[in-house]
Amino acid sequence: MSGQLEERKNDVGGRIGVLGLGNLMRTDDAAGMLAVERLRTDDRMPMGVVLIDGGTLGLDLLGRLDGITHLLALDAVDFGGEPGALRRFDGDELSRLPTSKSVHLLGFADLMNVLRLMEAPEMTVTLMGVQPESTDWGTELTETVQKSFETLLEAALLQIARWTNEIAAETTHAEDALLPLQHWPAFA
Amino acid sequence: MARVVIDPVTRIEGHLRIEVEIENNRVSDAWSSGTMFRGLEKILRGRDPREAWIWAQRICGVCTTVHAIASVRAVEDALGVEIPENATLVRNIIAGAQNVQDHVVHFYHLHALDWVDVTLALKADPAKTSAIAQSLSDWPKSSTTYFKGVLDRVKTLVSSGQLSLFSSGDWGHSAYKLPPEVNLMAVAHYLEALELQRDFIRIHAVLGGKNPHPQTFLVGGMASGFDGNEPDAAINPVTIDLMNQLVKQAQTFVKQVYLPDVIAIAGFYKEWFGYGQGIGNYMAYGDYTNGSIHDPSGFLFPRGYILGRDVSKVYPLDPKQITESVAHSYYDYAEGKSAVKHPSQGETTPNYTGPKAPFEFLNTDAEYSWVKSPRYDGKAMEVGPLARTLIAYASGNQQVKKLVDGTLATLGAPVTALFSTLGRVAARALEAGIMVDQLQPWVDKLNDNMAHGNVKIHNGEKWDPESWPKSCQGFGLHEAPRGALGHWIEIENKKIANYQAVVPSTWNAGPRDGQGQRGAYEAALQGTPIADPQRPLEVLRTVHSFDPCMSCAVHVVRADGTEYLGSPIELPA
Repeated sequence: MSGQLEERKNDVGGRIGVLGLGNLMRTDDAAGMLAVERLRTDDRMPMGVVLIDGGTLGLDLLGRLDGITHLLALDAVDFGGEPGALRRFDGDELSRLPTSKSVHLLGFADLMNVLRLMEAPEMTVTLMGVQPESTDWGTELTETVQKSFETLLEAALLQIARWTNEIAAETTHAEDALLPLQHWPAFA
Repeated sequence: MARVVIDPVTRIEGHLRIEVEIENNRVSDAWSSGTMFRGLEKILRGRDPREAWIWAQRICGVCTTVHAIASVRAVEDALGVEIPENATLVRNIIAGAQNVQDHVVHFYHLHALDWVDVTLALKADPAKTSAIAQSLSDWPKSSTTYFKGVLDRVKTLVSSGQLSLFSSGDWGHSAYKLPPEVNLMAVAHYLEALELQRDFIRIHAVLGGKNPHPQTFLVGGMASGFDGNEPDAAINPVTIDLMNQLVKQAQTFVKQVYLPDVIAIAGFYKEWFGYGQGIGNYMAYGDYTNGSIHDPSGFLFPRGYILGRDVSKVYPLDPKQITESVAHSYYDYAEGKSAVKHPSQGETTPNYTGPKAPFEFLNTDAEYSWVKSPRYDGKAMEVGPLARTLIAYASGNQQVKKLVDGTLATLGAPVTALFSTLGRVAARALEAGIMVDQLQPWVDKLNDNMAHGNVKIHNGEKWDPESWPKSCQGFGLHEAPRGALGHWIEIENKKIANYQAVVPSTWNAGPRDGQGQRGAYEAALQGTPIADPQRPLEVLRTVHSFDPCMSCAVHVVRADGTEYLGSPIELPA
């Protein structure tokens, strides 16, 4: 059904997913969604990365994660930091995220727990969060979060590059597939 | 006498607040309050009627599609457009899939935890669970090893200190009656239902381009590409195959898991066939036909209404007899608060007169809800799967009669048992069984038409606004999963002059009318036993039996304002 994708060197074949979460009408809560929108047109993105507009969907996202082995979630996360501060959560740290208390649907942590309960195949998951200044009504990020936004994007791109290399290294023609890492900006 | 507040009952959209008065451990009175102004009617005014469905569909993200269907039907009715058979079939498949999906999700993910104690499941013996499951059906995932695996995964989750999606149950509440083994079976099926719903709704992505909120509706038909020789068409032999597979999976799940689970769980809660009776008047617009929507005689779910729980008579329904009262709602009518209005003349003038937050209780003697009070011929009505089932039963539909009588016989319950909290749960499951069998013939017919080169899916005769009369009115009715849904539209100079949606939850969740007649939730809560006023689980059972628009968990705020998120959990030794 789907059109044939041109075979490219850095094609991760749908194994990397980038999930933007948040409500576009709630100022800083939209950060993850806006980040995915920007990544969509960034020419540094490898082929075959699945970009997902998660919005405020919860379990409806289950069907979008099929085949993904590396998931990068981008969201506003209230971790008690200074507004605009960025933080990443890997592995066990994810299971300590607050659950089910947001005004959203089931949160991201719940989604991860459900996957575990459903015995879904193992997935490497990283969440990159920005501490919101405001989640009031509004369709633009606050100035404070806007200042961190580019850094968030660069951090996301670097993570994607690392995973792309990992995946490439697993394939038979590893050297052919490797993406030169110097192409990527340093993780600020 | 104590007043207990549950707000919000819904977690995803925060629409509903319930206040109950408790006397001698029973609910003596109840008030249902919609806490959010929808206002979509105002957004639609002045827009092109052909795009109304795109906006209207966004009324709700849970039962997607239903407002799109009611909306295109309303515009088609106003303009006098008949749609091609293929468009009818595609709409039927989309709506029918929504119905099955919604019922499965409601039972397992929205309602089951009112009956199933997840913490008790941890004490289950997987071998006994396996024996019970195998006695119920041939469902293959019923081995001891399988249930042991589920048990271990749930234990791991619980010991991580995170109950996650199970965090908001009233664990340990004395109203839970299931043995540990049945609890474990239900938890396993809760997880399997998550998988099922994830896959099954791909039907919407095939026919509608995406889910939620399919994008292929059109006034005059559908925009789904329909071409047997076109690999990129939405409907071609490949996607027909896919739909066949998805339908088959859902059929198996509904017959071997959902229905047996409902019967098994109901067996432990038979007293709930005696609670939650409600108004006793039931109404259905009826729906689902291969022919014209203007000919109710061909409907799978018949049109009509029943009064006073009397299933010996179905009255013919005339949509002109529908009115809405705002006596207890935060709206004004130009003619005054005591006026009642037909939706075609409907008015949406918000005027919030409730208390300023923070407040303890609503002033239920005055206005207390953002929901209006719809009435049929002046009477309050319950809508939804139970109403549809009763009306089909009373109309003499043999398939429904056989199913209902058979199920009741299994449970040793009389037909009057259906007028209850559990009756709603059972009717929903039976309806899913009927609907899931109906999907296959629709897909087959679509396939057959394609094979014969009949691929017309849109009637463009009235697409050009130049062909429209200067002014016209219409309405579109649909049986959404939650019940009777109607949209009324008035078109003036090619633009929407007025728009009104009367949704199922307006009928069920509405407040008292000018005559003091209770809405369906309010009536159904009368007499509900309450073991612990601090944890009114029983109220949730009845409210949830209507399938209000709510998500995967609820949290309850006590009247003193402290947040209540369930009891602490302990792992069994």
